[in-house]
Amino acid sequence: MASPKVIVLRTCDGETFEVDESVVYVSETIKNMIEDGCGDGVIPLPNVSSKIFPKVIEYCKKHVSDFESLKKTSNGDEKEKDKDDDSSKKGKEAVPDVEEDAEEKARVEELKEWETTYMDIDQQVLFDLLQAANYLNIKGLLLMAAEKAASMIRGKTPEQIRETFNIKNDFTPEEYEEVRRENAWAFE
Amino acid sequence: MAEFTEKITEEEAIPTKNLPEVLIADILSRLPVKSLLKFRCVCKTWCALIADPAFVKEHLNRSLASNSNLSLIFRRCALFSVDLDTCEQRAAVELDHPLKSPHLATEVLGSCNGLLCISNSDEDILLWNPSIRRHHKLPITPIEFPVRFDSPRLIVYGLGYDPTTDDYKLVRVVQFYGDSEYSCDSEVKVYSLRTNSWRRIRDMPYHLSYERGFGVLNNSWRKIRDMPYHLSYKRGYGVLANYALHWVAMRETGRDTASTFIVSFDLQDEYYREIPLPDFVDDEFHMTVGVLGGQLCLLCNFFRVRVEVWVMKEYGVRDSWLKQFSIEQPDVISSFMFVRPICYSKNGDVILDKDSEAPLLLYDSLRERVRNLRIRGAPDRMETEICVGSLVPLNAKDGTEQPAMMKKHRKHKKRRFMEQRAG
Repeated sequence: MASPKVIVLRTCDGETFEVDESVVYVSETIKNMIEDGCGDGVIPLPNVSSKIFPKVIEYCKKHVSDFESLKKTSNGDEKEKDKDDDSSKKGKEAVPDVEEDAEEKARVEELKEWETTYMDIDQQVLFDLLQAANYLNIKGLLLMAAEKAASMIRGKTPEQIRETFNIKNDFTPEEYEEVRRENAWAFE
Repeated sequence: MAEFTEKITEEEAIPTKNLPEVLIADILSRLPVKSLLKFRCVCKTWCALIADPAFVKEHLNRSLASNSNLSLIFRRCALFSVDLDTCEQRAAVELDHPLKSPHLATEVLGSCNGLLCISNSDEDILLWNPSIRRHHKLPITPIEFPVRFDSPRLIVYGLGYDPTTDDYKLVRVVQFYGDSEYSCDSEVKVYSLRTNSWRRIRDMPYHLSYERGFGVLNNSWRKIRDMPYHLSYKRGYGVLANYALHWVAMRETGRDTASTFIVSFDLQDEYYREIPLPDFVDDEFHMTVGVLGGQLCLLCNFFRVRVEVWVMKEYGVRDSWLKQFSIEQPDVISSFMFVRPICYSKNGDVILDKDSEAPLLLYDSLRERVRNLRIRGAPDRMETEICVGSLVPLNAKDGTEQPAMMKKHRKHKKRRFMEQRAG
């Protein structure tokens, strides 16, 4: 491929964005649409707003090189990213090349720092990001956002959860009493 | 689900205001059980979601894959626990379990998917999920094999999960003294949680080898109070890996020689098999089988003060045995000391149990050295088990169903229960 192809996308509120093909390829949804032949026209994104799309593109740009190597291997599953200790815990292979190891470590560190800054966002942005990552099928972003959301709500009370997720308490007073009582020790 | 979006208020129906249920489930599956139990009170949808078997499975699989939500369980008559991730910062706390009694020592016969199998005797065995405080009492099953004048040589158990039937199984192996030293007369029974019944299966044709403190019981199979009852079981419970239970066995190879090997009991097809061992250069060692990160492993304690840990990277494949590490620190591990691997820690180090004595050991994979791992609040002599926090259900609520001998305990619980209701 000579020059990188530019893809035009339109968000739900009518704004258009021009992005390199390799960048939008990080989204499985967009990738499929392009492969189905929509890449030449404007790709509509009905579930993504112009507010959150730039944030998503920022993630994609950072992960293009990841994706390049991923494209060659088979589709990764729900497993955690390699930045986690998971793969090293599962079975430490025979001693790897020391130099490679150090380079890898530095890369992982840098990515971690970038991710910390990237995820320094408020709750509304986080929820927007979650929905966008889900619709656009960007596994790594969804994972990161979901982990962040989990750590955010972990210590909340049910009342705070309802506020956060805009949920109505539909228990009757008796039902609520019962559920509360059954799990009373969890509130200690 | 549609119900969710209906809860939006009169404000503009921004599509991003409410997360769809699939995302909620994803987020919730990353939380510890305690948080999830609280969140059952949020609304009916969440309450149903958290109890949904598919969600329970997703939550469990995620915990296992990411080595999170784990606790260390310590046992010395009473049971104690501490979160794995903070075991060096926080103290272990005593667990209030359904078999708790001032007069009897409780054993842990196995741990699987968040369920612990605990017992005070062969007649008093429970499956217990400490995270959700629910338990299930197993029916009693006699030993059918004609009881001869001698007592059985050993009785060991193993707890595991059968994915083909989505069932939890407890295996009991009873072995008797026979005519020769390595005879293997045995009776094997399997309990299924799904059917809540025991069934006898084909005998185990291998002589299980457990060298310390074989439980000796009188002919009526009642526990004798002051016997060191706990020692025999701890050494002998089946190690769970790849939906199979494993034990160390021995067979005669010559007039005065015997060799050690690993026998497996597949929970799915209920067949016994032998697991091939790596080619050891020096075979003067004491072998223990364990599991690390879901992979079967061997711990070889050599005569000349060296401990090797081998991991079977691909289950059943002989060539996949890898010597993970080797420890040669006589100040920490003496020769032939009984050492057992427990689990990986948060950052890839290995926690080991040392001859039922505190402290535990931590193998630092970076420094390639082992050091003592002291847990505050844990007993001095103890056996260690690992348990994942899960929502796997059992029917009886802790604190409501108590066996007859614990009447005093029950009254106390009832009072507390009433207090909570009022408050």
